[in-house]
Amino acid sequence: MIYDLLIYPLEIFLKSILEYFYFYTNDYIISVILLSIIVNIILLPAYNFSEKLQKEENDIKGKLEEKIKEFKRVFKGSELHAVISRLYKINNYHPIYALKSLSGFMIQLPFFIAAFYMLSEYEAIKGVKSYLFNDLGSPDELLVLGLFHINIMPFIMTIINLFAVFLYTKDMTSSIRNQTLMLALVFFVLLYNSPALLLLYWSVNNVFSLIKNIFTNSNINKELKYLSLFVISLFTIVIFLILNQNASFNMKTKDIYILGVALLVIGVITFYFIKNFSFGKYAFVKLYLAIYTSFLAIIVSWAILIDKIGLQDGKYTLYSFLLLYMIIFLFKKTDDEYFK
Amino acid sequence: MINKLFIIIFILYTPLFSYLDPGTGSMLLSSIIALIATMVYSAKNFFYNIRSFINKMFNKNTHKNVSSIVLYNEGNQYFSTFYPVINEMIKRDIEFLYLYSGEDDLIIKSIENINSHCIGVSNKAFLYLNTLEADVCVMTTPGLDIFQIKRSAGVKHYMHLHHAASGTAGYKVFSTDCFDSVLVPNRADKEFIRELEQERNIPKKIIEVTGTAYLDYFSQEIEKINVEKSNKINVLISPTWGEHGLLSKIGFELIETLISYKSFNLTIRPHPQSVIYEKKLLENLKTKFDKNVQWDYENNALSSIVKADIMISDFSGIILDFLFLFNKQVIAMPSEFNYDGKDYINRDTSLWHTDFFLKNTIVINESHIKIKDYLKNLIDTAIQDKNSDNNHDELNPFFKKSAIKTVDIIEKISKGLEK
Repeated sequence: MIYDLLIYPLEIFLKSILEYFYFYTNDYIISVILLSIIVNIILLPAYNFSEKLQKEENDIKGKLEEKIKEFKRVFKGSELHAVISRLYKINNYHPIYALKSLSGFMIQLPFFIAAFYMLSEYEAIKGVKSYLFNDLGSPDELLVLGLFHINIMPFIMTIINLFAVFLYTKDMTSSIRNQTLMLALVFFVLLYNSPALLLLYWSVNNVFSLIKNIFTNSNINKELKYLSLFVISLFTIVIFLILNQNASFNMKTKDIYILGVALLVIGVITFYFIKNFSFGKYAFVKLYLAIYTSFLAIIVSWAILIDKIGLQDGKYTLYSFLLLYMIIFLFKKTDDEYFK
Repeated sequence: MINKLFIIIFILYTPLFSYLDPGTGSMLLSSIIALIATMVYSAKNFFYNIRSFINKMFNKNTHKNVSSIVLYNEGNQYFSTFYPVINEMIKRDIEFLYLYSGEDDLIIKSIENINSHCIGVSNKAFLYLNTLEADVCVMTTPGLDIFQIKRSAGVKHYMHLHHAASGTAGYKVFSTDCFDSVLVPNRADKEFIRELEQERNIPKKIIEVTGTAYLDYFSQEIEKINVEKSNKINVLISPTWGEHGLLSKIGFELIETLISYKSFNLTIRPHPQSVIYEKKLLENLKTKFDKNVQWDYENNALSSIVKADIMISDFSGIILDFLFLFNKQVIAMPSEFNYDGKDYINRDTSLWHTDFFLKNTIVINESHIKIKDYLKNLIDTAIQDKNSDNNHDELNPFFKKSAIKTVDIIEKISKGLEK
């Protein structure tokens, strides 16, 4: 049921974007790169929103942590617990609020799962040759050393990931950095034998977050920002050059228009919810209502688009509308009650 | 441990974590840490709640109170605070119930025929108090609703009666937060509590300036004590405790120097906490200076204070008693206070009694002791020119009338509740 309601429509959403691009480009590599970029753009406001939440959480936590440290020097056992409870109470805090930082993950999680299922079980890419890759549906095995076939994509992915880790954890404690580094290495091992296209998708994801980190991190100097802008433009030009050479590239103006409008609707709705949020007593309720409402708005908009391009699944469109209606109703209620 | 846990989680949920970028990865890690922290916190909460719930189940409070005013005295250290207040209440014919913890309670021994009840110590006492029924409950024990004594649903009004001339700033953190009213020694202390309320964004409570009740009792008792005339000067050393205390810092040197002058009678009154926590230090000092020094371990410092011509201390609260009661000279060696876990911490303004100490005592430092005859000359001259400024009304208002003021407030509040 949960899979049906949340993951499956998303899977269709991702798949239809991919197939949409493939239809016009006839090139899975380009399509996956574009898919990754579009998914990341959609997630960008949500991601920023959760970063903001996490910052808020970190601020209050930093303030309390100092006080708790002081208490730990003086109190023990039940007394310590009593003063810490009191401290939380007067600051309107509960340790479970630390889970606010999970919101970013909660938004991305369905996309992760959907993309994983979609790409690892995608029949259409099995045995497809493209550029250097012999088979997009299996590990790349690009480097051959005698009897050993070594996969190159996992290395590329991990190197990009390591860059992003170093950039992201620049101002953080070494323990966080070590843990995140460990995470990157764990992924290397776990994803080593995955299909090449999946690894490409994730590598582009990481490139995207690397660029995002470069631009959002105020500690990084302008030269690096300009350099990365240059690299991005270069990359875009190369993609267009490849696309132009491809004879079957025939995206119509009308289709681009539909896609643009859908993205605009999604963007506006997400932006609306993020902008109008004040964090009060019911921040949690509001937050999750907002996330899921915008989430479903995406699905619904896409469902309309799906009809347009012939991948009909009326059942899910209906599901989505019902849920959207329910949640908007709920949200309206909370709005009246809590925003006074 | 946590690292291992992560690895286990990763192995179990591999596909799920396959698309994490570093930002999300670190979010996830901190979330897991937060989850664990929440679990620990909730488990502790659960444990302490269950503990008090079980206590409540098995110990029903059989003694229901009819008195509208209840006084609770935790122990004999608060005897001198309660004694004048209770006497005043008896004088005015106010009905009250007196609850006490210790079997050897001094109030019961010294005042006859009061409506009283022994509620036992620690858990037994807390349980009784947590199910108490009364209009007003007056107690000297701080930390209501923070530590073990919780607010009882049957009590309409909780009043804290301060038990030190230095007021509430030295209390443990949050100590006065959950009282409905607090009686403080002076205006400076009232302002301090208001500051805390504002900072913590908690409702304003009733704060009344009542002076210090135990000084009432002391000033009466002083007249009963006979001081033997001696041609030697009586010097009293009364330090605080802990590593910043006078005794642990320069105890040996100071006592040795004072003994060498031979013109002083030396009395040392260790802080009651030193007696518990610094046994070894006191034993060492005692074996070395047993013959030449008197050691005072009495319940209250009164007889030593009366006898003393001059006091040597660090910035201990006893200086306030000494100056408020007699206005004799005090030589003080300022020590660094450690305000960890106290209400007074990280403030811009200095504590009112620190200012008072600096203004009204002769401040010296450790190096002065090593200078030959410095201390002797200092004491001799100090004895001759008496402390000129002996008006402490600002910081010690209602002197000798504090109990009257205190009972006024208790009466006013309990009458207000009846309406």
